[in-house]
Amino acid sequence: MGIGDKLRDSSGSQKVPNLGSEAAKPVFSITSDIFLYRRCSRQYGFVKVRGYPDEAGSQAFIGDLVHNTMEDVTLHWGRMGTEPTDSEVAEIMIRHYKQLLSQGATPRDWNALKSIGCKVMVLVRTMSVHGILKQINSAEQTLLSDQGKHIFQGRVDAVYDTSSGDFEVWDYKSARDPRGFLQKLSPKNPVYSIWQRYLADNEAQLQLYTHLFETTYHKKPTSAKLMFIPNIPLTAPVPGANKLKVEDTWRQYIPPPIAKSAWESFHTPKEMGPTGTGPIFSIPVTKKAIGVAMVDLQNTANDILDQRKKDNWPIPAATQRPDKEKTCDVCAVRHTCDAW
Amino acid sequence: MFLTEPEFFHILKNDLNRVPYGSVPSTSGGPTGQQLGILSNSQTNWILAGPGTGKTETLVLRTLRLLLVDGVRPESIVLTTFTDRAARELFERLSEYLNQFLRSPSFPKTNPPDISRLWLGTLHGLAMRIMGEFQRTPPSLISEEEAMMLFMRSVDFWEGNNPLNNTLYTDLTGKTMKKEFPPKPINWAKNFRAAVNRVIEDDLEIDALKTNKPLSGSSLWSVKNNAPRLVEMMEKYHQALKGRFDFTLLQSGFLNFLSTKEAVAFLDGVSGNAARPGLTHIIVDEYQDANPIQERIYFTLATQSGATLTVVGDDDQSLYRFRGATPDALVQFGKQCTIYSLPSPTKIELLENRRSHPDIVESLNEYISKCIPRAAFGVARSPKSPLHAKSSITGTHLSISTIIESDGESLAKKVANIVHDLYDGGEITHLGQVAILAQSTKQTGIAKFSKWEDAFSKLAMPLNNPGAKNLHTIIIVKQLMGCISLLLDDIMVPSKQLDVKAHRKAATVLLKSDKKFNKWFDDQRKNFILPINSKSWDKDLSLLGLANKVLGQDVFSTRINAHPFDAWIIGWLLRQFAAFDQVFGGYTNKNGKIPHIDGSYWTSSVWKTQGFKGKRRGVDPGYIQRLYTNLAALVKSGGHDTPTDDLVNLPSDQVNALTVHQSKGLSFPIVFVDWRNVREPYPGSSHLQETQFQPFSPRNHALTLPSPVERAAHDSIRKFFVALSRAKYAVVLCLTEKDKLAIATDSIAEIPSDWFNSLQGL
Repeated sequence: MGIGDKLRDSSGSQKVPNLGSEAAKPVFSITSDIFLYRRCSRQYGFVKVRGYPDEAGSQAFIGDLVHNTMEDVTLHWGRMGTEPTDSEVAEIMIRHYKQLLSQGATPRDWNALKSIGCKVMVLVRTMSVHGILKQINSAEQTLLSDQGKHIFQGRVDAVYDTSSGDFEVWDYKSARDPRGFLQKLSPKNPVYSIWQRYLADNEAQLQLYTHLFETTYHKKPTSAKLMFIPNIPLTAPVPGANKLKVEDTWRQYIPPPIAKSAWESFHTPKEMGPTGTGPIFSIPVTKKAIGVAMVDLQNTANDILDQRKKDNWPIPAATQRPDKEKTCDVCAVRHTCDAW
Repeated sequence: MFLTEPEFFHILKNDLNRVPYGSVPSTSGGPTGQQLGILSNSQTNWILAGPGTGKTETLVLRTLRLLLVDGVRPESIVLTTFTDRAARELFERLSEYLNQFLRSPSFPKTNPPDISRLWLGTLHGLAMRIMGEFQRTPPSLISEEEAMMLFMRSVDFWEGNNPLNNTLYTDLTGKTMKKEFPPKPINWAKNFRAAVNRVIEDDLEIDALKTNKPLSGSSLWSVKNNAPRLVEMMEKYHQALKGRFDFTLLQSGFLNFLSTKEAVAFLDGVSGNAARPGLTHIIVDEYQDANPIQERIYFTLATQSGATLTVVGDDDQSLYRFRGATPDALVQFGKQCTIYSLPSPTKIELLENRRSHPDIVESLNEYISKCIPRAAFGVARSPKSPLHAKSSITGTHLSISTIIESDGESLAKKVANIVHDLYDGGEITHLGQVAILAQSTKQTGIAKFSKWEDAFSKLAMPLNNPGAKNLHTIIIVKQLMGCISLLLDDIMVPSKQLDVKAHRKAATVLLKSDKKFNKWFDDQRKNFILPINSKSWDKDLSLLGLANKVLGQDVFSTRINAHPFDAWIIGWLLRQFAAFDQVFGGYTNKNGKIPHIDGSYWTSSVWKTQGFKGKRRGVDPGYIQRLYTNLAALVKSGGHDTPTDDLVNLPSDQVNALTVHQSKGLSFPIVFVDWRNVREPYPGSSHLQETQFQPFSPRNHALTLPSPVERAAHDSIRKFFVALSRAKYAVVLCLTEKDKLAIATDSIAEIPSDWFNSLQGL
């Protein structure tokens, strides 16, 4: 006889049920969970799980600006039925820029910010003139895939309808293209493996998106492409020689589009491959490649679940240290970290 | 090509293996509540969904039916709910079901809808998204922490002896400012700000309030200037926001937006090339927690766009009056439809409780029937039919019972022993299967929850208590606050926050114990307290940056790395520092505001009184005082209320100790309801303010509302009902002998003695 006997079903047939949906399945975003964890498990634990604030809010400034602007540009097309003009793109970008500032975020490099904004304007002008913009049928589409213990979530930047009736998935990248570094660095250089990892992560991201499309809509994109905004060539110099305010720089920028022949040259297999230097990187989306990526992502998700249970977020091993500039210098918990 | 209704049902039943329409007809021989909820084509629908009756399932299937059967574009549907967590769950469920539909061989090969284009989210989230997309100037929203600090900075409410503030405070809260010693600026600010928010959320006629001229009846203010004084406070605070929104103003901002030309594209769509559809369906979840301005937003959306309006909720589970919500929105939905010239709603009841043991459901029905005559509760609620027990949970165990012990300590011990026994016996495999729900889980206060923590920790069963609010007793918090104080303030700037001394003492002890840290600390002090010719001032260092520097020292970082709980608490504190930097620190350059600690050449009367003469470099004493008043006081008060959304993941290996509010939307196999210290209905500030504001409310001024005491009684009944109805397998009401005696007098609104007497002891 125990003190809890009256709460026991005497027939023995009814067990105390398990905790149901209250033990909610965690949703892992591919970029802000899986890749952040892979770059640095400690940063992930402190920032994402324990909610440590970012000191200057600078980490995602340029990324947010680019993504929000490109989403609005697509929405503008959907809403107005016309491509946005240069000044409309500039105003869209300024809106988001001011919004980020008002949220307390600060860019780390003002000149880099001006330049990337101008590159976004070149890209939009080029996409408008060459009829690409009107073939983007969806922006920032959220897709989920239930993996049992957790859910994978992806936000697809753009779905592009090809003229043959198929579609491609695109992802805009505001960070630098790892391919360039890998070509310059010796494989013996310790930084080489870091960039190699970033490239693999980028590939895995679009392979997961392809998988999410297939499982959600039972339709597979014919290709998946990364678009590195920093690799977009400036078709006119940034105005003001860095002396103008950010808003005025963009307002005064009136870029010609990239010429059709130049744009097409970005699409050759070589340019879109691992040694390409253009803005577009095409990711293999074969069944095998996707299968390998999914296993890898699952392993990371399981690692995160284990670490969450322990609530333990160690500094990565010396061989797995993240890139200092990209990860550590903007980390909210760098002051308490021996790796910094 | 879309599905027909029979095809939709066929796929649900055969391919998704679901019987979504239930089995209890809403009227004899008629369709079931679920079926009506999913299929009704009425212009207005009033869905009353008791606990555990499959509300989310109904909402998801209604939305899917609109998309897949009626071919409605996702952009034409607004689906709002109360929390981000609930919105996420809705999206996940929609995504899962849509996926299963697409897999079905019966599903036509057509382009599936992009459900991420639905307007799905909380009303606040949607307001930001919609205005962000359609309005030329994007809205800017500040955090709750920042809003509170801004309120404290901009509004003069400090003087407890100021008769203007004092009588206003009493009118708003029933309490007296000057009796509060030590002074509690955070409490004052919370109460004044809640009232200011309420002016907006109750959708009051501000001009009437400003001139103290009621729309009807007579004004109830004790001093005629109190109403204008409140408006003055509100306006000062709003000016300080400089066009940005806090969570309250976002609602009025969104309502204003709906009348602008820019909103037309959202409401009516755009013809021509764009082919953007307008709004056609509005579905509002948790409508029992809507406030009057939200009610107006939903009706404005519906009337301006011509969309259908479906509200879903249960007024018996309305909990958020203290945030401005009122169950009246749901109860009076039909009446409001008439006022807004919409057709009378189709009333739909979801009655099949699939959550709880049949004996619990029976007792819930009995409970409500006993409460209906009490304090006119029956008049204040929607007329509803009893719940039908449809859970698969059965068993001969005592599924609803009581434990009565002599005091709180014995009670906690007994419950801990029961849980331990069940855990030992293998009936409970995870401690997370058990929840203790209480009115407060603070470790201090009348009902001291620490007794539960002691009892469970003695048996090595950890409690997950996100509402403990004992920040000021945590040593690492005191040490960090003390270090910041010692670094910035060598003269101990006068402060009414008595805890500052304790913080500095804790830091001093730490410094004495660690030579390395002591040396580093001395060097750092020179950065802040310097002779005038020093050049080492780090002018761009923010408070957050300074805190991070301190935390980077071994003495702190070692502790943080080894103690997850300390790391969590420090994370919370750093978020407050970040908000403080936004509100109180900083200078503005051409690129925006740069947060920093306010150091300057400074000569002040405060310093002179401390014996300093002439110019001296150091941190502005005013800055220090604001630091103490905002942060030290915030720590002392236990922080702001924990948002419900913080409870995203409940640990499965700890017993969950939650407030009833935190448990809303959740359910647990075994629930212990800690309801010690029962008392007669006691109106709080939200009840008083509703009455105070009624004459200035265009919606309510001509209505006869229940008295504050009656509303307090109703709210106690609702809170107790929510606590009981969280349980699946068993619920145990935990009381002391003293409580039992009070219940026997039948003066406790939420526990009718005849219902209580029907429960068996455990």
